[in-house]
Amino acid sequence: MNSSQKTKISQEEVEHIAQLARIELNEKDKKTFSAQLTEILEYVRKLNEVDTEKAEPTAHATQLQSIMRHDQARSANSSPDLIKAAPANQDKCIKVKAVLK
Amino acid sequence: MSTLNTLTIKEAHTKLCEKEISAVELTQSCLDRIQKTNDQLNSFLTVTAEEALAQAEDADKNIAENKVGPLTGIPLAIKDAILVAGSKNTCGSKILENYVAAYDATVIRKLKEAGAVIIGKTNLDEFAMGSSTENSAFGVVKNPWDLERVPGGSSGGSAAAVCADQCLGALGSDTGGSIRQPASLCGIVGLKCTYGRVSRYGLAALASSFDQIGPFGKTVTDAAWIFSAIAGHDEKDSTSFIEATPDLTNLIPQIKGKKIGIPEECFIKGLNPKVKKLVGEAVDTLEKLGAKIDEVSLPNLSYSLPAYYIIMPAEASSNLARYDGIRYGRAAEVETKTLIENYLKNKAEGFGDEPKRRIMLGTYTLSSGYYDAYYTKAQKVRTKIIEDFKKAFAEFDLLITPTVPDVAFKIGEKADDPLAMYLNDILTVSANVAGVPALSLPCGFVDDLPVGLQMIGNYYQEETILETALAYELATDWNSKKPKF
Repeated sequence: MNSSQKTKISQEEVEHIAQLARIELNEKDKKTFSAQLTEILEYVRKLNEVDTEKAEPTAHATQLQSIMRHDQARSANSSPDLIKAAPANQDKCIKVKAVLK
Repeated sequence: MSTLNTLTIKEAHTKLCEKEISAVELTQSCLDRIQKTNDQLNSFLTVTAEEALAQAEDADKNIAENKVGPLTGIPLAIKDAILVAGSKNTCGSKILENYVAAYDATVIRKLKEAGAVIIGKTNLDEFAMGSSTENSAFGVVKNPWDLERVPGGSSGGSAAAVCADQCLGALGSDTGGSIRQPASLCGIVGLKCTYGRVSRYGLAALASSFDQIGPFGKTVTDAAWIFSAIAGHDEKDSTSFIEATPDLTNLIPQIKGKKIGIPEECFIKGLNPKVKKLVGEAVDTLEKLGAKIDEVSLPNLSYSLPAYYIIMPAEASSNLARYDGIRYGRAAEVETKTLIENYLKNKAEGFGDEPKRRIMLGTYTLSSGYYDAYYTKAQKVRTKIIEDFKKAFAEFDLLITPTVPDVAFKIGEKADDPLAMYLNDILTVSANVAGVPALSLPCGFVDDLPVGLQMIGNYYQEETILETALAYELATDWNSKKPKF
């Protein structure tokens, strides 16, 4: 986010990002998203105005500490329903497409 | 036709306790109202009439034995991103159109334990991404004040349902303003609680470091009652706040001596002058009621929205990766041979434009080479914004701003301009960035459309907000005005 140069998200970049995000796009989508993502990224560059040299990054606003519990198994009776939610299932398993070519 | 559906929760509770009405009658009255009006409003996606009447019968049995809590027998609507076991949970997305929840969210378990009646699931922007409820895959929700206008979003279905008396109260979720903005545009009360105050277990995640479930009510008291039922520690949400939550069912108006700050940065370009005037009058009322008003500066406030629009899509892109067409919802319509092809097709067919846009934005800013420039920078700005709030709350009990810069806009007006839509969150989003609680309540009308006043409180000070809001509500009575719808 260099403050002087303009961020332009080309259609090729949109295609690359969509591939990383596992979303297939058509040509019209690529054109629209290229323009819209460019505009949005242009807007967020406003953050360069803020001096953050001494600021630590915040991941979590309320600064809670990690909460620990004992690693004990508990029964949840929802597993048949959870399996049923998968579009392709068989017995107690979720079916997937071939992973290897 | 019965008008029991127009009661507030507190009024209905009194009548239930005195056995003047039954929970079944009350529930039926809401169901009738939904049946009569939902084709026009499109606020409900699922109405669980049979289950609701069964829950109402149980409530009546408990009431007969004088086992009555504040929410016993009260019909409530739930945003369709909060799981209710056995009900469909679409998140307003085609990708989950047939997904049935396997378990109750913690807030639903608590509402059921409190004896509330779950009447159905409400429409929303797809995966809670939007400020108008136009992004739903199941059609736009109409604003009961003007059917040509949006109800706000993303919890627009819940807000419209409460506004149009289809239920007595509702739950929504607020990531950047998704409770307060529709509450403002529909003229009702909406509360976003402190981050961690209400369990997120069973809420479909948009951006996990911002998301909070909260109540919609016709009055401040109603919102306080729902808040008291749903808040509290939950071991199933690792970000849940451990300390006990005060019971606010006996909320008393308190305002004298409270120090209220007006952030000068909230009077932005684009603020409707008539909205500004109403907020000014509200501030005068608060002062007359005994509050001490002063200006305050939060210099980094205006960077909340750009910081949010980096962090939120980054978190969303990670959260929405789970909708892979394997574990939930639908399978791709076209035949696919490999796993990768299955992902590509499923997400292409299943997600609407806004989720696609945000997933890509997040994927980009988190990708190698851009991470520090965008994501880390935004996280550091977030720190500066939090410091501004901490400084302000060292001096003030509450901050006051307009909730939204303008009244409800026309359907379609901003639909093709994502950035213009994002700017709707400009005054609400800072509370999510900082994690502090904030509420919207009606403070008047511009051209017969409601305007909301936002009260922002310090961490875990929902009580301070609600008791001040109650004092204001009692002094003004804006919520007695109803849409003609």
